[in-house]
Amino acid sequence: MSEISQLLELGASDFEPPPAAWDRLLGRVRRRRTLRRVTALVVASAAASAGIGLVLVAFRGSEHPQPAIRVENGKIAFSKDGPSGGIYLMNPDGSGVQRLTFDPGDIDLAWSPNGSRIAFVRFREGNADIYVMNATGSEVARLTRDGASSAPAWSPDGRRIAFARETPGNMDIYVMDPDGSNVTRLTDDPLLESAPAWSPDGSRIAFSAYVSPPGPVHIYTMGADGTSRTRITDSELDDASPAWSPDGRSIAFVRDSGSIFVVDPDGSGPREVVDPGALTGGLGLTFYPVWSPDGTKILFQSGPDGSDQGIYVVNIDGSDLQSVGSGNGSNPAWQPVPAAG
Amino acid sequence: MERDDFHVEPAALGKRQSGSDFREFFEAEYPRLAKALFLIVGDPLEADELAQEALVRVFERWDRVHLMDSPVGYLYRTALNLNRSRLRRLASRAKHALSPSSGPDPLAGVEARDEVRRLLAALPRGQREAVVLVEWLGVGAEQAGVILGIDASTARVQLSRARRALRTRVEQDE
Repeated sequence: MSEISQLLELGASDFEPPPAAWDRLLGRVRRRRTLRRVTALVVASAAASAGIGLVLVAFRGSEHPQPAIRVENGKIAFSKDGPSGGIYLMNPDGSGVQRLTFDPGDIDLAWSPNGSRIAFVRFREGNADIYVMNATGSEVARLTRDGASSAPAWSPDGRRIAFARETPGNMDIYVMDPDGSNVTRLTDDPLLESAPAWSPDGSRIAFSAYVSPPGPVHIYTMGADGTSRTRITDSELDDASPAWSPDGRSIAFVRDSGSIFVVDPDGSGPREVVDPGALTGGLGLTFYPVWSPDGTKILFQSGPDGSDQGIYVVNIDGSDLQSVGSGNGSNPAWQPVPAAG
Repeated sequence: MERDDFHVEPAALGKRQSGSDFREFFEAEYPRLAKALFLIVGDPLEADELAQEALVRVFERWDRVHLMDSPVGYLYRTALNLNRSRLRRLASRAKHALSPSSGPDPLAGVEARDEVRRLLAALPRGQREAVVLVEWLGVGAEQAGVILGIDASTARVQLSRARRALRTRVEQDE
């Protein structure tokens, strides 16, 4: 031990952290959750008094551009951690579970627009790279080799994959072809950008960005070429994991790792869909909302704490929250299946 | 997604926690973090407040943080950034930030310890952070730079100045 470290040890010798640290931490998390709910109620009542319809996202045959392929709900892909870790498929009612991969570091699942392939991240020994495979788990191909690529998102026409790439001290959004070629950088600034999500007409990309911990995370949108960036959330709480609705009218996201919110693509009318923690009485950590391909439900990952996560589905009006499948699961992604006819 | 925005491999801190149990991580890291922050901020209550808040931030991003090379590095960076935010708030209120722990010490015969705290408090913040990370926590200068968000060379300069200031005092005592 050097003399300076001895000196420092002496300086801290009478310091004892206050007791009950874990209980105090839980209390602090609960207070943040309560604050979040109060904030949501204030926003909701302000919207109500302004005569704005609440929570319900109406689907009125939109004038917005539609996805390139008309699709219906297929199977749900998800990740599992631990000894039985890997990518799995199940039916939307939780039945028919099939295992596709055997690596607990497989996360960030993204379906191709016709539901025939899955892009995912293989996180191994601290390195993250993007892979693709068929929906049966066959023909696994590695697309990136920099060890710092994540969050793949397939463009609606299936010709590009947007993703986040980390460089020392920074993270930016890139796009590449589905074979890993033609990599183009879309953002180049000090913000840490991640979680790209395409609009259904492929013209814009939503993403989350923050300065560095602990700065709040906000949601932005930009053109598919990286221009005309707009910030669409402005909360002191973290807003992350945007997911564009199939009809293009809303973007779902997670606020403060707890509640599922939706907001119009221009940033107006943010509203809470569901706070799973409030319903279950737990602390409720929530991540990764995705839309059902038919746009009627939101699928997400939630659980009482960070290590016990399951998959849930809720109607877009916040009703009928249900757990899907059994046991642990994370990173859900709902397979689009081309509609008959 | 918020994957780790930096890679740190603080060998002295051990590899990342096996599994994904936040409770284990908390129990292992909280006392050491609170103590490191005490050395940096000089106030036991502030140190605990910062440690708790940093751990809440990590908890709420735990699904990603536990996959990082160094969840501990992320924890310390979050805590030190929170401290910087706190100092900015204090400064904006025109208060004197960073005074050493004040008030009567219930223990007698603590002159040497108080002297260490006075010395630390007299160091510029960057030097204090660097010396606590490297000399007390045991991370390398490069890793300290990553945690502090500064170049390794800047971290080395901060460290060497802090060492010189503290060593001068040790030599005076001897």
